[in-house]
Amino acid sequence: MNQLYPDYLTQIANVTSDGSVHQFVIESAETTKTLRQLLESDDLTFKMIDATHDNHREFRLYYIFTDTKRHTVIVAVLPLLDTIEFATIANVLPAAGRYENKLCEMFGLHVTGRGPSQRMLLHENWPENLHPLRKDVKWDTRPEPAGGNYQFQDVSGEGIYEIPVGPIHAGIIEPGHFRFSVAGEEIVLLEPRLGYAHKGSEKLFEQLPFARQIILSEKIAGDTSFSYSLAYCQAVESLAGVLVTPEHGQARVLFSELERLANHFGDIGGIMLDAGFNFGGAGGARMRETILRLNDKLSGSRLLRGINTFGGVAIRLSRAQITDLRAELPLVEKDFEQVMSIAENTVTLLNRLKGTGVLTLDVAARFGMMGPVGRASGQDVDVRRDFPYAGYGTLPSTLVPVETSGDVYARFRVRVREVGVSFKIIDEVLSSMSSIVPIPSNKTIKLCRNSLGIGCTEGWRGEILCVVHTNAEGVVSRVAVRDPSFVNWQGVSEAAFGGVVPDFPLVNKSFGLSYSGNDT
Amino acid sequence: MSYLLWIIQIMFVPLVAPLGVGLINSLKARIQKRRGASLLQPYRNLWKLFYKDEVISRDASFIFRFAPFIAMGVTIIVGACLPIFTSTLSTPMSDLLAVVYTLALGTFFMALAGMDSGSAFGGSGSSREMTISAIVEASFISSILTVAFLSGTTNIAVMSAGLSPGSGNFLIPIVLAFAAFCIVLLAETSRYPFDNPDTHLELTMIHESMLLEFSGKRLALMEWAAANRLLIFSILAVNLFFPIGIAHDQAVLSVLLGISSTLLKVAIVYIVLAVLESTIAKYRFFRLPDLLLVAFVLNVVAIGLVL
Repeated sequence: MNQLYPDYLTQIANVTSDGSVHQFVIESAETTKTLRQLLESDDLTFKMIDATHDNHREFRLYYIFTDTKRHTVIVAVLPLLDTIEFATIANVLPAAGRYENKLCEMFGLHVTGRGPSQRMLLHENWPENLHPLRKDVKWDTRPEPAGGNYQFQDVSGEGIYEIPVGPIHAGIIEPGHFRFSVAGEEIVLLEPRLGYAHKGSEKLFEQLPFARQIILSEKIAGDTSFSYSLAYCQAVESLAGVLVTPEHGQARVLFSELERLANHFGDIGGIMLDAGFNFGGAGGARMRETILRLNDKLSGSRLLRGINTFGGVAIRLSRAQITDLRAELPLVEKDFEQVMSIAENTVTLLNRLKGTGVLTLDVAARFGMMGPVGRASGQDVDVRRDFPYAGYGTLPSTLVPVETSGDVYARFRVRVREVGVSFKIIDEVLSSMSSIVPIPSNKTIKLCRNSLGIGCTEGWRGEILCVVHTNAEGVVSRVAVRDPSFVNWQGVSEAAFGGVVPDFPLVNKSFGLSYSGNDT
Repeated sequence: MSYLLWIIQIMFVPLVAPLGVGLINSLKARIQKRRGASLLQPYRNLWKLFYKDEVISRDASFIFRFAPFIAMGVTIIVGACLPIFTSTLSTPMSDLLAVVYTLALGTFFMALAGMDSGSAFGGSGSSREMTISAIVEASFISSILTVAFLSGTTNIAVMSAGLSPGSGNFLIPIVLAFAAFCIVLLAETSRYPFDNPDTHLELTMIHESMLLEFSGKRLALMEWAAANRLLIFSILAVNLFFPIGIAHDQAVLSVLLGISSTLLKVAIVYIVLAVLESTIAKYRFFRLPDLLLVAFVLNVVAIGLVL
């Protein structure tokens, strides 16, 4: 039996396998040792730490890894028996720190081995000892304002002053507070304070009837509706053993790429606009709108909502619609190429983008940065290739653009090249697609008991994770989501460090992160 | 006749300035393949703002309350002293230094008002504005000084009369000084590549961030003053360096010719601005002094050629 398992699992007893998910329980005394062993393997990548709380007051931690070679998920489960303490692994794996903080805040756990952290998601007006994801906290609890205090990091020195920005901004964007400590115009420290868009989505999943959870999954980050519902559907499909037909897999690829196109256009235009290049900015907005209208024509939803269902897509695509799309997309592609050829020949624009907001590969690797931001700093990761889903099957490596300079220009270029790749993928999908018959929505779907399913998709910002846990009755007991922004926000302050204040909006835009997805 | 001319002279800048902003915005929209708002939109915006309620910070002092009136008043006074369409309406205020420092007075109070409300953006906007206006001041004076040397007077109304269009010897210094003045114009009126008048990013703003705390009538005055300022600098640019078509007497025909030639020349300046703002990106803040240094060097060469 052991031969079937890769090296890193051979020393571990009690591995239970469930399709592509390998689970095993670890002792709390040996947590660090076991996890260190897992991390030594080159095949494994750390994904996230998740936790559950059951009505018997028992907490369980889930350390989730993926094996990119064998396309399997490795889950190390750590039950916390009669304790709320667990040892940190942030000293060996810095990327884990943020998840540990979140669990401490949401479940009221205590992490040992390092100092306490500041609030990350909950507002200072939320009481200290009320931890929303515990089962004994009701979802509609309205606590009295606690009037707590958030202590920003303090920088002192001659001529250093602070600029508080937000959470309400001059433009129509999401809420977030940025505290700059500046010497003249140079940024000495930037501390983002997020959490203003916390909507309690994970708690809400536990309250909603199963049939409506998919709608909630589309609202974690509204501009990534399709990739989110896809991740959620994949997690449930793996729990229920539902298979997706190749045609429906292809349809999911089509919509994923349309979503990527629309948002990349928006971001590419946004970067140019924030550099003050109005022509490019207007072009990006125009092309984004064109794609949104195509989305609307195809599915009746500009943001591709209500399309995914368990087992495929719930909408009909006729032969005429597909022919139409094949005729219209080349026009957008041509428009894009024209705008980009003008932009790439505008010296003042390139001058603003190049060398601004550099994020080194070192930092990107330490935090496990992902998506276009990670790839612009040399992180060669893409779920579509490393962990194929839907109809992606065999995406050749040449279709994963990677840049190494890590500046705003690199992040800009990665997006531009990805737009080209998306057009290519869509063209391939459409050429073999005749028509799509919708899957009838299946309300009597049966899920595995006491299990967990994991959905992983490459949204336009990067890797989206959705973990669905079921209880002994086969009912969804917890849904955890992880937006790429949750990880990538850590890079923003690093990239802003040492730059000047007027360049920060450009750096921030080139990251293009979601507040809503981070705050969930 | 003289009264009528004075009325036109005083009304010209405040009445025409919003139209100029409308022209720039509408052209920029066209270049970006958008339909854009009507030419008259800035007037409607002012009208709307004048009918809106105001919110004033409790911490703001009288400076904040009065700054918009000073800013607006300064542009009306300076506007009335310019050789707009005729070189015959000269006032004691038409002196080169009087014009430069009256305008600086407006900037000064605007910067004070930016800091007054205590918001971090106002302060950073004021700091940036003062940095730029301190560097730009020398270039501003010395570029007009070139023309002053050529015409032998520091009265700008007389200057535009003294400079005959055909004098070939003056062409090179005039062109150099004009180029320098154009850079000054961009800096003083907060246009590209110094500042982005359209941006919503509070951290990159210079001029706009000083106005963030203003609302209603005071905001209307501030915006109107900014439009006036742009027109004043454009008129200086075209009528000091190239006073072609400007009236040298008070006859009806030459006044009409003066008005229409000024409108035409200013329109050209505005069109160039719109094209510029659509085809380049804004400069990094720390590259701006380099550009102003170029203006200063141009001036030194121009004055050197004249003396």
